[in-house]
Amino acid sequence: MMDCERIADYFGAVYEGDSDTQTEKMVKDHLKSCAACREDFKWYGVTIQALANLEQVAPPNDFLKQLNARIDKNPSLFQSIISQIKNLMNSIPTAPVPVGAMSLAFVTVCAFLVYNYPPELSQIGKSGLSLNSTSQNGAITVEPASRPVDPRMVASAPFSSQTAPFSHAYVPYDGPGRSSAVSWRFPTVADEIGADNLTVESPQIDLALKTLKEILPDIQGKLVDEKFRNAFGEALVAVIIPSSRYGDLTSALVNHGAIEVGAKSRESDSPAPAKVDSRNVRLYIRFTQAPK
Amino acid sequence: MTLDLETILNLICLTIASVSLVGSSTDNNDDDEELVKRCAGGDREAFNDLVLKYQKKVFSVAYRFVGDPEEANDLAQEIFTAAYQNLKSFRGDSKFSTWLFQIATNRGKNRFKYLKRRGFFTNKGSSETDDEGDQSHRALPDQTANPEELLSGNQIRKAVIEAINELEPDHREIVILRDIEGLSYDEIARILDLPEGTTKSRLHRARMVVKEKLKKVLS
Ligand SMILES: [Zn+2]
Repeated sequence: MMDCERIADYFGAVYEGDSDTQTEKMVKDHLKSCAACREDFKWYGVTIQALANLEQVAPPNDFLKQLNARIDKNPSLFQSIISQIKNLMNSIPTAPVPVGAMSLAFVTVCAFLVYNYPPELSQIGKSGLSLNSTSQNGAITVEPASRPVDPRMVASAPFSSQTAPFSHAYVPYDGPGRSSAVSWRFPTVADEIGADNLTVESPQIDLALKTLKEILPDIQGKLVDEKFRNAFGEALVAVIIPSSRYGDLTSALVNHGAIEVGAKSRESDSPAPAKVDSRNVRLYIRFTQAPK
Repeated sequence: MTLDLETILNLICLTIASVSLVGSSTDNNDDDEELVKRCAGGDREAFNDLVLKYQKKVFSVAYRFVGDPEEANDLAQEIFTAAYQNLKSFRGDSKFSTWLFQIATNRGKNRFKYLKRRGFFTNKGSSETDDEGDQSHRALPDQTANPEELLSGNQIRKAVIEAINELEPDHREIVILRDIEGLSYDEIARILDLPEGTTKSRLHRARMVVKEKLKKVLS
């Protein structure tokens, strides 16, 4: 006779009539003779029934009207930045961030989306702003970044040299439970060129990259460079896209299975996208492996 | 409270019947192809038709992720907006409904994580039933309750909501798709891009978690 620990593994199959007759007979025989498993199986059924019995909810009558109004507002850039901030905050494993910090972060990101220093002025740490949220009261200070210049960041740029390989805004998060000490990790391709505007965490990097390449023509964007570092299971690409299509890009990545699109692992120093001209921005996108 | 095996098996047959009914009704959406083509060509009426066709399902999924009508409305609109904006990149490799549910579950899971981190779900289950005041006392199961009485009780509804609010996102997602929305395993496997075996074992683990919570609260 099957033992009690294994019997539960078959509950789902037996409950849904999805097991072969031999297994079904074994499970039923066990249930007949074992009160504990019988009780457990009863609760398994109660659980499924209770879930199925949850009340139905309907959308409001004017759902379509509301939706069309929302689409017509053409909020793609604005809303995508809001959702980027939400994603960014979401990916930081600490306590809630004050709304004020989010708003100010939003303003800061916006400011750097529309404002650009010429590359030759881009001495990191002087031209940037940092945003700090303190743990005690959620107060926010905006001050010139005092982050030391990482020599790797101003050294060689493996990407096209007429493009500034790093941009100018840093939004470090210094909230509760997060020490200001820099934690050690493997240097990444992004470290070496000092940039990754966006991190895409996906269980299938290949698929995420393919999705990116497929949608670029649709949004009038282009791939500028591409680097792999297989030992760390990541890829880094540089793209130039119209700033208004930023939301489309991130949405498409999320819709094609990326788990997180935000500043997942470099939240303490993720720069804003650099402006190329009046219409286009350059983005460095890092693809990291998510657990399958 | 005890139940004989026959009652349990009867319950099983009922569930199988209802699940297969729902399953078969969601399996025949290839007729969206024409609407999707028109929509990608800029036909807003075609898009509206797709919205009208799927708004109930999408809203329902959204509601189950966030447990609040206003949040659900905002999330459902976000889902359709994303679909509208990305329809040009929809290659038709899958059915439109699968693609739409992929958007819905990705967005739903992200919103759930976001709200959860902010304590949105704390005491959510109990506050939903507060309006009904003392009625919840009457719904407490007693030793003689049969499954039907137990399942119709307010107490169990509250316990289920609390239990799924505590699930981790991957578990919540799969419970929503299968046990609440009644999608087929095949469809769920395609939406989540998982092998069917993984889909089933993940669902089983999620159900066991909910089951333990219900058992603790209700027995
Ligand atoms: Zn047993």
